[in-house]
Amino acid sequence: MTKALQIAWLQVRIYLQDKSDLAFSLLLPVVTFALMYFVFGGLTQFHATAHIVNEDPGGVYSEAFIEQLEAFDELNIDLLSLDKADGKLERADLLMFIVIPEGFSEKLASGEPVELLFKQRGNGGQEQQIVAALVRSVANDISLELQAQGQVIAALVDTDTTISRIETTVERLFAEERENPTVAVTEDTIGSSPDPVEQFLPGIITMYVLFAIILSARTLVEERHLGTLERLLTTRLSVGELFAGKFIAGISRGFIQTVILMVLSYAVFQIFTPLSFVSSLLVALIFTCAASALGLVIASAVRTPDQASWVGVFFTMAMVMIGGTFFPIEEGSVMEIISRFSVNTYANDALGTLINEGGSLGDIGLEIGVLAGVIVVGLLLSRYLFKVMPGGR
Amino acid sequence: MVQPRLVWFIALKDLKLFSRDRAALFFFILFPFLFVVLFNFILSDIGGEDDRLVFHLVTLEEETETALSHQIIAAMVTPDESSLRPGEPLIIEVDDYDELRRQVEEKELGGFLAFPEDFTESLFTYREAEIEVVADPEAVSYRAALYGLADGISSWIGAEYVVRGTITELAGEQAQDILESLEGQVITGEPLIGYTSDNTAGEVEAEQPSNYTISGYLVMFVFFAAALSAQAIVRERQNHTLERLLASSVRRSTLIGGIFTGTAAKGLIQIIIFWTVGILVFNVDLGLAPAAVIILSFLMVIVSAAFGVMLATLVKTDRGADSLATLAALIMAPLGGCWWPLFIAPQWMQSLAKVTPHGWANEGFNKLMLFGADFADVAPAMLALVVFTIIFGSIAIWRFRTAAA
Repeated sequence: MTKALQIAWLQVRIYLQDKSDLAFSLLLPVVTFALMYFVFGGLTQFHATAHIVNEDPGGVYSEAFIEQLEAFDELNIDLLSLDKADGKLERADLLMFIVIPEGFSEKLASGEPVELLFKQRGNGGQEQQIVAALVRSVANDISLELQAQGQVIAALVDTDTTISRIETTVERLFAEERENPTVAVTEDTIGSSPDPVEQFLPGIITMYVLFAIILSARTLVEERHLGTLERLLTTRLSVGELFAGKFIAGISRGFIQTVILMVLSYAVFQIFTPLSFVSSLLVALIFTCAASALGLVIASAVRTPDQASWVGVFFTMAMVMIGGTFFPIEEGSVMEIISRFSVNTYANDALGTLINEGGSLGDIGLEIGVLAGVIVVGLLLSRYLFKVMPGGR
Repeated sequence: MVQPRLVWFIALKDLKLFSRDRAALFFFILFPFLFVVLFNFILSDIGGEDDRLVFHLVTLEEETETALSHQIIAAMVTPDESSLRPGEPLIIEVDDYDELRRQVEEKELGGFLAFPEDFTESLFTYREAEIEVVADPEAVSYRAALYGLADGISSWIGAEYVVRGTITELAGEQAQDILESLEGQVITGEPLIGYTSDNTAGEVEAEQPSNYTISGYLVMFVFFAAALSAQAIVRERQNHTLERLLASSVRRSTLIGGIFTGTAAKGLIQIIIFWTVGILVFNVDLGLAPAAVIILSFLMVIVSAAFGVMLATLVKTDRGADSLATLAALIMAPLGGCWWPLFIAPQWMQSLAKVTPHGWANEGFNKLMLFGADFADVAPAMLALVVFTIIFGSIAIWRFRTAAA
């Protein structure tokens, strides 16, 4: 056992001295998490593109209409020609566009009614229906302003008030109304927005721990190819001790990485209580054991370092993708059944229960049981396949 | 001076070595498709939703003759759903506020609009009246739609007050009589801006996920494979293969050209397989300008090959090359929109993606394959990839050494 620990200690020292490996295992999770935080954490506001065909270019009201649409933070405005828009709608490259008809401004200025044309597929899809609602509200605002002006002019026709004075007053009062609306729109949200830290952090940590351990399988394959493992056997080291050393090395390397990442999370996001931190470390240790066992399975099963790299990348990416790292998995869906084949699912669920729901170790018995099962099966399989020389014992 | 025949021999040698490891070759080709299959499955139903929007309105005011909220709701509710035009929302009045809240809590409903019990009183006493958007914060789109509806109501009432305010200000003593003569609503008649809709183009269909997953994973894996090839170059430098080649008649420029061509050839094999399988199996739509898709793919291959050679010149050991290649590939892939489409990311993230060749390539592919762009629309992306190739290639030529020391 001492010899196995010595091998493990050697690997840990190599890991801590290798700057590129340290960067890979610590910097990459931080960068990926930051990216996901900014990409998905910002999805609390609706955002869409309004495709507009302006057949009244240079018109006062058509330009004002487009300007008011551009003022919405939620909207990008894409100006198209009618032919191009029709072509895109035909190919379903867009689902709706709005046509501002020719003479739009002229007719409005003379008090004549005009019609916007919504060309769409079906109802326009959910996103474009909301765009349509926003477009209608802008059209409604312009319409109301003109109607109000007309109404006041009609009401004051028998007085000596000039039209220009009426227009100026209406414009000023509308500006004041926009500043301080008579009816304010308030919001009462029920429930909370998903917290990207709680949502993504456990997944990112488990993802990179698995990545690091699985990719280190390549080193084991290289050592086998170069005869390093065989040479080690010329000392008094047994194959079992060598195997145990590699297993413990994987655990130590992964666990050090996890501890650093969790301490960083604790310090930056304050997401742990002391108890949940200790419980999470225990889960992380069990997950690291499972990852180390799986790494040994890959290292024992493949023949060349390149195979180890490709299998390692694929295996990790597949576990991560179906393990709910990047998107929540809906309960009762087919995806949920598929996700049960990912070791990350159990680790992410367990960490999620401890961190987000304030659960205890008693609440994650199933997850710990499955991870323990992976360790046992992984170790048995990898020990059976483990060879110290290519094609040899 | 480059010796084309020798460049080809060196490239061929790299390809032979690469194809010798059949299992690695198998994974190199198969893995990206397993991701494509997985994502096609996960994303297959996304984008096909086209149900009409339904808005629920509720008032907490008592029903009296003067209760404005009741009048507003009565004017807004849809009398007959069958008369709605395509895309026009269905508006329903609901009596039970608590039931609506429960539905939002249970995530059965995205939200609703509520008029408080003092709505009319606040308006008549010139206190600020409120309309409440009660919403689930996760229902981002629905919330935006509810805000649009609430703003519409607010604007309409505001316009009424503007008319009254203007008359009061300008008509002096006659104001009271004029306002009384208007009786109730002062904004009357049909809105000046109406709308018509035309949905003869067809129905909404779910976007084929392979149209964005294939391009994303093509970019990621072409780059990843090229970056990993840096390790083989470093290994040849360490075991003096490069020096031995130089000792023969091979020139330094030929050597760089050969390594670059070999790496690019592997990438070309990848994109040929990618697009062939994509078109035949996944029914990928290359858009209006298929030639632009092909050119963009080719440019991604050469920029990746240049990056792989450059990477090999920046590290000393093959282990360092392995780590740096993985690090670079796994940072640039999500940053450049390979893991999720860039168009769902915030604008500043889309701008940040442009520091990677992945960002330009993915933006170009998305424009061509999803948004009906033509050749000219993606010319900037092509130019950017050429610039990246020149930068990576120049660094590679400048730093290229055949010996470890």
